[in-house]
Amino acid sequence: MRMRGTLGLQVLAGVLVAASLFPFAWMALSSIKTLRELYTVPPSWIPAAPTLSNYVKVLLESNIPRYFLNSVVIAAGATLIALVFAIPAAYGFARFNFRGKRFWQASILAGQMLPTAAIIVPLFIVLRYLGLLNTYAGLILVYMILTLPLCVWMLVGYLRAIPVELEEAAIIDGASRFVVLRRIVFPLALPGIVAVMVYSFVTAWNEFIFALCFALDSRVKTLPIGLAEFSTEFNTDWGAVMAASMIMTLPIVLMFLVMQRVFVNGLMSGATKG
Amino acid sequence: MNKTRRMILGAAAVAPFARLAAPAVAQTQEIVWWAPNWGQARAEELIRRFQAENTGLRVKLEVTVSDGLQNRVLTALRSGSPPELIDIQSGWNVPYAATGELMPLDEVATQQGIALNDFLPAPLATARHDGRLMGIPYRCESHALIYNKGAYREAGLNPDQPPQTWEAWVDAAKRLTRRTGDGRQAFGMGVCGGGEVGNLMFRCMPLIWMNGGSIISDDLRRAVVNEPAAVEAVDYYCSFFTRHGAAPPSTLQNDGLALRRLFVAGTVAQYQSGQFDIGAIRNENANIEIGVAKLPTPPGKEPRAVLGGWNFVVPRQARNREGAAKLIGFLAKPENMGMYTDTFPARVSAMELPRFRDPILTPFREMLPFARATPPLASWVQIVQLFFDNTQRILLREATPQDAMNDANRAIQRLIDR
Amino acid sequence: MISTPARGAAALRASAQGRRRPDFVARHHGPFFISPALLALIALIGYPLIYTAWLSVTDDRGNYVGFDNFNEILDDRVTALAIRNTIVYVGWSVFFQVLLGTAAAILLNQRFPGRGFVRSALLVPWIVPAIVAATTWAWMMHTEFGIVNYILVEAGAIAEPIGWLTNRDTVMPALIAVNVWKMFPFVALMVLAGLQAVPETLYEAARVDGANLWQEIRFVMLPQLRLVLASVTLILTIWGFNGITIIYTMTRGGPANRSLITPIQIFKQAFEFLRFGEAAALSVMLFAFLALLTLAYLRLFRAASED
Repeated sequence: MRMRGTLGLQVLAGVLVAASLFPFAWMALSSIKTLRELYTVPPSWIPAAPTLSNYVKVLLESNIPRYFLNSVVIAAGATLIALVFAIPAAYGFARFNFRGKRFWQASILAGQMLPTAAIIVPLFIVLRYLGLLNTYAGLILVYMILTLPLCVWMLVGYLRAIPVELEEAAIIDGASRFVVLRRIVFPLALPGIVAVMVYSFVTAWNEFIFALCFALDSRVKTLPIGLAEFSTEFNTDWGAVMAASMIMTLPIVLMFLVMQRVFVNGLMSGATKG
Repeated sequence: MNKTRRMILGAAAVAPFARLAAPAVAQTQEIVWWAPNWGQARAEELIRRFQAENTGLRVKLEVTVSDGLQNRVLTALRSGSPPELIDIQSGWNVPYAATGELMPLDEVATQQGIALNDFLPAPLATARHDGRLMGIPYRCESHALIYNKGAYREAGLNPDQPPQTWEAWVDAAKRLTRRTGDGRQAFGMGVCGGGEVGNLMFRCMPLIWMNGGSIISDDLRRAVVNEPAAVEAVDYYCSFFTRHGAAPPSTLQNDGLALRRLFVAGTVAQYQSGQFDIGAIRNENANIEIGVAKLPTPPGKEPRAVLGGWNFVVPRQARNREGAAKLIGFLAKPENMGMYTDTFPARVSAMELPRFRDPILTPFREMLPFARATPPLASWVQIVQLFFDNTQRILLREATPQDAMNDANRAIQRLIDR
Repeated sequence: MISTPARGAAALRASAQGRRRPDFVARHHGPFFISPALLALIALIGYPLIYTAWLSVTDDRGNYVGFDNFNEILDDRVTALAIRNTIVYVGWSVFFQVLLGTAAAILLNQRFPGRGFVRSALLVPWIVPAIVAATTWAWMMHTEFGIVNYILVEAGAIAEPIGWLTNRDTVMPALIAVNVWKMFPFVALMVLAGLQAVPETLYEAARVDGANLWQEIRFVMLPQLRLVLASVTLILTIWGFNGITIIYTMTRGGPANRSLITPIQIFKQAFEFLRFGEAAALSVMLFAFLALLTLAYLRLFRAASED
């Protein structure tokens, strides 16, 4: 695609980035402030005596490193399982007509329509029945429930945008459905798959209330619980929370920086690559 | 890293995929104890001693956090697989008991030789429901007036003579509302008008009580928050903000924590809180000279406070009740309670320990006998919410105190009648 | 074989003209593909659905009480207020999330130096844990401590600090702004992925006809994004009706219930007031409403979903 008004685009992008990062910059600055400087009236932007003590505390004196590992396993597991279920389901909805399709597609969303407050107790009972309380597998399943519906729905949209003719041609050439899925649909839908992957991972990464109730052991607890552990009944170690939030956020941003290359500019580049 | 070590690490990482909590029957000797993160080190020490005394019993500590504690406790209670022992805020003892999911502890107290007559009456009252003992209090505290001595001097007040009457309190607040040396606006009083509803209740309810009023009658049958004594007290509390301009503009978003931070920043010079704030203030701003006093009263009246604290409870469906009873018996011993509590212990004899003798704690200690438990009603939290919503209307200047409290009274009466 | 550019391009052009062939496989293939996901969801979420429905018609002791819980909660004066607030909050939030998110995605799909960085940076609001973001915003909007007031006063934009979260007229807009800030990157991500399916040939054709950027958006991108945008809107709406973190952290529904929304009311009924039956009743009503909304949506987009 030709460059169009590059400067204008950059200015626009700059404004958007500034608006997005403004609170984040405030958090980053807070994470290197001393306790005395965190709460002043009027507030101060730049710390007079920047300190890394919050990071030292988070990395060496808290459960954050262990919880980081737990979060990686759980978020990756949940993402993987959600995709394994979602891709075929989305393909089924996008490519075939069958009786009750609309009802079934709506019912995929059913779990999202109940507030967390309503499902937390029964879900606890289900997990206990399955013997999955306090396990990675339990949280992975719970997060799969959370993320699967969106994955299916969004992928239906992405798959429908892929011309069906490509698949027809392959089938006429004698390829099986699964070969078609793997060799044609998957590569063409890759941007969409990456988008829902990022979504699933981030959702599982940040979820608090289910993790709080279903993971009682520090071998399973996740990062958001680690953030809550910097608070006591009447106090919060805000500098540490901010430092831990940085440690939680930046790896995901970097991960996306690498992955965003799949978003090119249009289908042709995607099709020729696949 | 050698191979074996890598394998062990690998196994440790994989272990959580399998069930960690083995089925009930396999570990009847295990006692699961949910204790908050800030007391973790002390809890671990107590567990070590307990296991040394009781060989064959094993306590598994599961750490809870303040955020979402109710969610976690209620989810466990309602789903039928709770731990053996839980630390809860005393205000939740009666509501939890009313769900029928807690175990009465009268017999445990007798059997374990817990001398209930050694407990302060107010904490014990937080654990009573329908005439039965539904928890064992271990920690209690009450608010006092915390003030900035330096600010007092600046405003020409005597830092060694904090206000004793309501009138003097307002006067002091008005004089402390001033431009400071560096030209910043400072305020005389921190009024709690936002955040968690309990924060306001802890600060406003004592004034209602001191003035001879209440939110509901002693027989728990009638809402009385629109009667003159209560309305006058609510009006007095709000007037720091609404009439005297002695509380900061942020009042409606300030909870207890925000008030402390405004105090630390030098923006408010007085506010009500408990001893847990003292260490934090010293930590965050060593330049502030902290004064603590008993809460001022209407002329000739006694001070009052809302009792805060924590209790141990045992869920009805706990699997190892016998172990729970033994652990409670151990934790309720004066020396253990004295070590475990964050503020004051609920037992009189434990109060003699040296750690409670710090002079700055004296006013807090003196307030304790005047502290009362909140009414033992299952719907108390909802009543407080109604009181809170309507007090916010006064602070928003949307309603007069009388009108707001009339509305609150009507809604509370409906709840009680239900 | 099939992905040779020439053949692919031909196929693309065919589809771009909206010509679709009838279904070319047996009807039972659809159920075969969707059943694993459905079974997994039913296995895990079926019991919670039944449990909630049962809870909504029983009392604390598990006795059947008919519609008592429903009557009780509908009688509560707060309920109507919360529903009104919810509609305002969700309506404006979703509108701006989709608008801003789509605009950002179109921008991020253009070519300019530093695009990779901008794409990642824009995701930050959504990646930051909601509770941390909300607490940070609450402090930034604090009347005394807040950097927002400080900047505005210093810049001379306002004379006095504004009580963003304490003023009845600013609290909802402030919360909506935070919610939009938090979720527009998610929309941008989803739409950006959708834009990848727009064939280059369409842009080329448009340019041959002398289309400007706006016309490209209007006639090339938006038609292709229809289904993606519709799904995102529906899902954001459903989440909006169930999301509590931002408001609960920042105002707890105050001042004087000005920002109380239905999911917070449900949360309070259940975990603060311990009135689980009423919370379940309200949940069931919310569920019914959202289910109808979803079915209505599917009917509306029937053409797109069934061809």
